[in-house]
Amino acid sequence: MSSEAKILVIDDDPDVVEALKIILKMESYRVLSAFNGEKGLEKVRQENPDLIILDLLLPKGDGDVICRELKGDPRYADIPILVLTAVAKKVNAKLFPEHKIRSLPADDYVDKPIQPQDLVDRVKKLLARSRSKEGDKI
Amino acid sequence: MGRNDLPANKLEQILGERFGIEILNAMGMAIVVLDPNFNVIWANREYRKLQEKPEDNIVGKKCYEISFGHNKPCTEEACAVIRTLRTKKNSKGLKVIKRGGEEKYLDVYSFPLAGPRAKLSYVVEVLQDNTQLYKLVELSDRLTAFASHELKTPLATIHQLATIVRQMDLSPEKRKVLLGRITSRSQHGLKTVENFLIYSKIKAGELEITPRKVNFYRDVLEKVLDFQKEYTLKKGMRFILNVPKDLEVICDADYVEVIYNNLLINAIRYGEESTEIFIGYNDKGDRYHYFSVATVSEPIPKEDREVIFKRYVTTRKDGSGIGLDVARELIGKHGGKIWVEPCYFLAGKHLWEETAGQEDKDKMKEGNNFVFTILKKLKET
Repeated sequence: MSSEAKILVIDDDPDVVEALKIILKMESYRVLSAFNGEKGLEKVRQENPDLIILDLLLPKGDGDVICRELKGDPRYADIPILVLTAVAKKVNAKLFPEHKIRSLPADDYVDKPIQPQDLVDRVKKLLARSRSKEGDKI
Repeated sequence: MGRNDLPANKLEQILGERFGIEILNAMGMAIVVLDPNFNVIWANREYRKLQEKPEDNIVGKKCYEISFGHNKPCTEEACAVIRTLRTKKNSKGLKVIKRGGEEKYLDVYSFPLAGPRAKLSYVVEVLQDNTQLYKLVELSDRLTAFASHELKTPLATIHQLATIVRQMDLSPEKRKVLLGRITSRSQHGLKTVENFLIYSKIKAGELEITPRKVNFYRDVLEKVLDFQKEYTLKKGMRFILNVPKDLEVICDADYVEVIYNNLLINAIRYGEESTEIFIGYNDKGDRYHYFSVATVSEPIPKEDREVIFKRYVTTRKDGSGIGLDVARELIGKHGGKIWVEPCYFLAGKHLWEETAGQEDKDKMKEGNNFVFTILKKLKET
């Protein structure tokens, strides 16, 4: 999988989406976005992205539900999911306590505020892992 | 002891037992005397009133039956009377009972009454209804939580954007875009703080409006739309305005701007992506101007349509419940009212519930229309 991998960002904050777009586009990734859970799932089905960056607190379908739904669907189970956590972990502990986040079938987690290099490293690692899995299948 | 003072026992003799009971009845606190088996020996008028049993004979009944409808005593942890029975000392605690569908918070003080040979014969329980006080403390805690929540989002985003500007080697254009977003998010943060300041003014009874005749389009709407424009664009939304450009309204333009901002923040936050936000005006020929903000969004259930305007009420998990309350208060200062009604959208048009036929409704997208009024003849200052 080359650098032109397709990444879907699902987050309801347009500025966070914009920020992620800037970081990822600098690495030549193609970035798609959705601002709520429902649209996010729709985009996954339409675009079949190579990786999903998913916020947890979303209108119309929370991130944890989406994460479980996708990982439980054989068509999309192999798409790596990177969950955005920090706000949830520290502030919305009632809604998303840490044990709940860690029990998600996500592939990796990244704390907000996102450190650009950290995000890029994690994305690269996940895409490489996904690529090697695909290679194994062939 | 002064010359005019009487010894306590002398006073008792003069006044008599009846007078003592009258004093206990006249007190605003509920008082009950219990035997060691929790049976009521005597209760004053306030206690009967509190337990909603003014006419019943409650003597001989168990206190836990009267207060909670239970058939066994409470735990020692929860009951000051039990602690007094065990320790033979004064005790205090908090009792929460439900009366008339509402919770009552009672501060409880219990005192041992010793009988002959200092044997504990009775416990006097004094209950003070401090519901208002507890509710105020609870509201204050919630307000603090809400204020933090509302400020958290813009601050977290500003932090995020600033981190990127600082750490990444961005082109001047991208840097400019992000700095623009930082400015805009700080402005939103300031608007939130403004909301809380207005809110505290309202609650302190210090909020005064200064109505002046303004060009509504230029002095209110243009400013609001300019402020919200970026957010609508980000969600692929756009405004459709149906407000006469020459409309003159007597109002406090600054506060009406706050009303619109609060309504539009919700409209953008909860509205469907890539849809229109309809901003309308209606003159029905009566005493009011009618303004509306309609969006394609999940319809607010009928049972929630009134409560969402109440203080701290939010039907959304990420809302604070203050925006609509502030809007309602400011509208009230303009002699008007606010309500929400279901509405329908078809091919870029917005229809009211009464004008959309059932057949059409099936083809249309549903939404919410927030309508507010302003009195036409407000006194100018």
